Amino acid sequence: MTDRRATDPLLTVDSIDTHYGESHVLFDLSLTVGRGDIVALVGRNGAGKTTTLRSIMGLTPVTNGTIRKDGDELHRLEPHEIRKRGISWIPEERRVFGSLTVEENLRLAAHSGEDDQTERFDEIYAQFPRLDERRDQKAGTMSGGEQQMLAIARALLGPETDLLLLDEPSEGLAPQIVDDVADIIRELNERDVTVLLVEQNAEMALELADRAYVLETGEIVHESTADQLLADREMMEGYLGVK
Amino acid sequence: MVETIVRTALLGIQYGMTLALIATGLTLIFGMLDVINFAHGALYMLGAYFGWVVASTLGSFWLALLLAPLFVGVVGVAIEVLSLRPLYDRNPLYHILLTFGFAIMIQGAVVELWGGQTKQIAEPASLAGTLTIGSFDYPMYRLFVLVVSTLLIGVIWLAVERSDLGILMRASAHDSEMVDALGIDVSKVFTGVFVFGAVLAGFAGVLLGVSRSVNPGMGFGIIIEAFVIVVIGGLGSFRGAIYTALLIGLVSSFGALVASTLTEIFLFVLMAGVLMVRPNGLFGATEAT
Ligand SMILES: Nc1ncnc2c1ncn2[C@@H]1O[C@H](COP(=O)(O)OP(=O)(O)OP(=O)(O)O)[C@@H](O)[C@H]1O
Ligand SMILES: [Mg+2]
Repeated sequence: MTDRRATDPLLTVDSIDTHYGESHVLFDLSLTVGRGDIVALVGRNGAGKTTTLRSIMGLTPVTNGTIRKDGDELHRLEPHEIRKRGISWIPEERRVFGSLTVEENLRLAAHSGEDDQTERFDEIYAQFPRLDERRDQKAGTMSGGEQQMLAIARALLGPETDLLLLDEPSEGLAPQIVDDVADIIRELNERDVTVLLVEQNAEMALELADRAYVLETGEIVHESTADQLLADREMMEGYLGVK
Repeated sequence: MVETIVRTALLGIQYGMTLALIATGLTLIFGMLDVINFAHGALYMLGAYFGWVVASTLGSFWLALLLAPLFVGVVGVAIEVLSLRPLYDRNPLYHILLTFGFAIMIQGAVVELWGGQTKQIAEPASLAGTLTIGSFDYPMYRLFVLVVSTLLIGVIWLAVERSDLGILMRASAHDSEMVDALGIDVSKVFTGVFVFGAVLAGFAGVLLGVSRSVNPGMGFGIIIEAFVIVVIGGLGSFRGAIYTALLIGLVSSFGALVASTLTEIFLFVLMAGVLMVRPNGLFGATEAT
């Protein structure tokens, strides 16, 4: 795997600090996601992985530092403006709209798109047959795996997505379904979607990723190719508690 | 006997539908913005006063019906954008204090500007008189109010239930942060809903400013009823508000036949009864969440 970071960065997070009220959560954090890469962000519980994605998405604004995509400043924009710049966020626990049907969830996501999205709808349903079968089912009554599919599909409608922020997509899923999700991420990536992947399941994330960052109490403590980190059992155990 | 029942029923439906105009705004604002809007009654009252001003200076009820709600909408924009928006993340107590403060301020301003005495918007000449069918007659104006508010509620119902607007409202009520992250400017949606509620309340104020009277206290009177409706219907439930408004309208008009002094008490008995059987109201928790 080549390191394209230096040549073509899509997302550049530069020395950001993030607070929740008084509590300081991210410290001088920098990371780069190269165009077309899958980058894994791993770390223990409470390390600040979710907060990093929230800061990029404009949901928890940074108090310091800059975030750029393709050279455009993001860090002063609202989440909906950031979405319009091609970034999609799939949150922890998916957060599908449980009282809406599958179709309604997707229609809502398509709403912010500028072009006619009917064709995209057909593509999405073709890509996710399980959603197609369940168009009229309330999202809240679906299984965790189905909800994850819906959350991914929802992120692909609306403005064209070229950067996907995924927060723990494997959480609470059976191993078989985790493999399905990994396949989908790989497929999306092959279609030129860049991915920043946050995972507790470090093995799954590192097998998918080109590069990896390890986060510890709000600071990046390690950065390398994913293979290097995965191969170094000592480091894996030290940082992530993986044996 | 039959005539009395028909007349009372028409009166009840008409009153119920105007209550629905007020209660739907209140319940949508609660459902989506999570704000208990105590200023809603004051906006209704303001609608009646603006209507009275327009009708008495320009001499046209129709202009009043058109312009007054728009003026109230402008006041709504100011309240939402300038004062409510910065407080959304705060404890609901802030919203209650703020909107309650607005209710008092608006009432004070109205008394200051137009005095405390009761006024009335002149009935349009084209709707004067009564409609007579055989031996049955009914005031034209009241029939007009019934038709207009029913149509309006019907249109809103269709818009909310059948279009993406309804989806957007339910989704924002459920998880507005997620909606924002999907590329939809939620703060604009919130402003829209608040202003929409304000315009409806203002519209109801003009309609009732003809058949009832226009006075500074009318807002506080109506908001109690509207809250009872919203609670019985299920907080945040759109359908619940409409059905319950209709029910309350009928209860009030038939109650007035039997014992007019007891209807208000009966409203609260009804509310207590419904809440005992269904703590989330008739339509609560099945729709909003
Ligand atoms: N809304 C909040 N208010 C205050 N502190 C918060 C808030 N959300 C998170 N934190 C704190 O910020 C730190 C980082 O949390 P974050 O959710 O980003 O961690 P994480 O790496 O995603 O953890 P996990 O693996 O458990 O999801 C934690 O100490 C957490 O307690
Ligand atoms: Mg997390």
